[in-house]
Amino acid sequence: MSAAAATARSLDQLASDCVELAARAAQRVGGQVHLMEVCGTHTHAIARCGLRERLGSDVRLVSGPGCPVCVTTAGQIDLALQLAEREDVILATFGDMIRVPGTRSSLAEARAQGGKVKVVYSPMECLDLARDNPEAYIVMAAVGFETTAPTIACLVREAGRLGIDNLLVFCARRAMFGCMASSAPVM
Amino acid sequence: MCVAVPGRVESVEGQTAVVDVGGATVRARLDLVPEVTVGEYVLVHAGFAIETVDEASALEIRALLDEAERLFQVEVEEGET
Repeated sequence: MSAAAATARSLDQLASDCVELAARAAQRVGGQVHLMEVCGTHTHAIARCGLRERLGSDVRLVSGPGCPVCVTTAGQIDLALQLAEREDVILATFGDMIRVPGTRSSLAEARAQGGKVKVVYSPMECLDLARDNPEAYIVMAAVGFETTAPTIACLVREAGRLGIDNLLVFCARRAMFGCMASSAPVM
Repeated sequence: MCVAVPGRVESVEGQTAVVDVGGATVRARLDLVPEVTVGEYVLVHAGFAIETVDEASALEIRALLDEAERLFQVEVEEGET
């Protein structure tokens, strides 16, 4: 059996196991079970296995919070990939973004194929990148919820203060208006 | 990038602090908590101090992170056998 066929078979087996577990859970609670997909990768995996269709009406899948990385859409990853492939761009990204798949590839794959993808721990590292590479545009892949927005704002402010003009932000941010409104009602 | 870790501010220079995070020294920007002083505890996330916390909270978070790491190690070791 080929590796791909083996993977497909084991995924199919996993999906069957999930369906069986869900049926047992539904039987135990005596009604519809609500399961939350905590992480966006769960949502991806469920879609890929066709699990939603197989689970039937006893189980309702609810998309959960997700983290800034896993809620970044494949379309946004694709746009980041297009940027990374440009000759005149160095794409700066948080490390945990690079394995997230777009529709055709990931930033890790783009980097392996010569794309200029630079992993940063802090967005502020882009300032040194911009100064050290005056011939390139540094593009920070800005993902995340409201919590990381201020750090990107600090980067932009600092770049302005230092007169750095080859730094750009690819804004792929997420907003949680409801949460913000209830946690900071004065806003 | 989702985990903020607690640490003690060891020194401050301009807008940047040196923070002791569980024995490791990291640099953190203070733009979001500019009033921080040496000896205080902060949560560090993606190169920024994002919040000041009291010592008891910092130590409690540290203990939880250490416990999570130990459990993860056990899982890795069991996975290898």
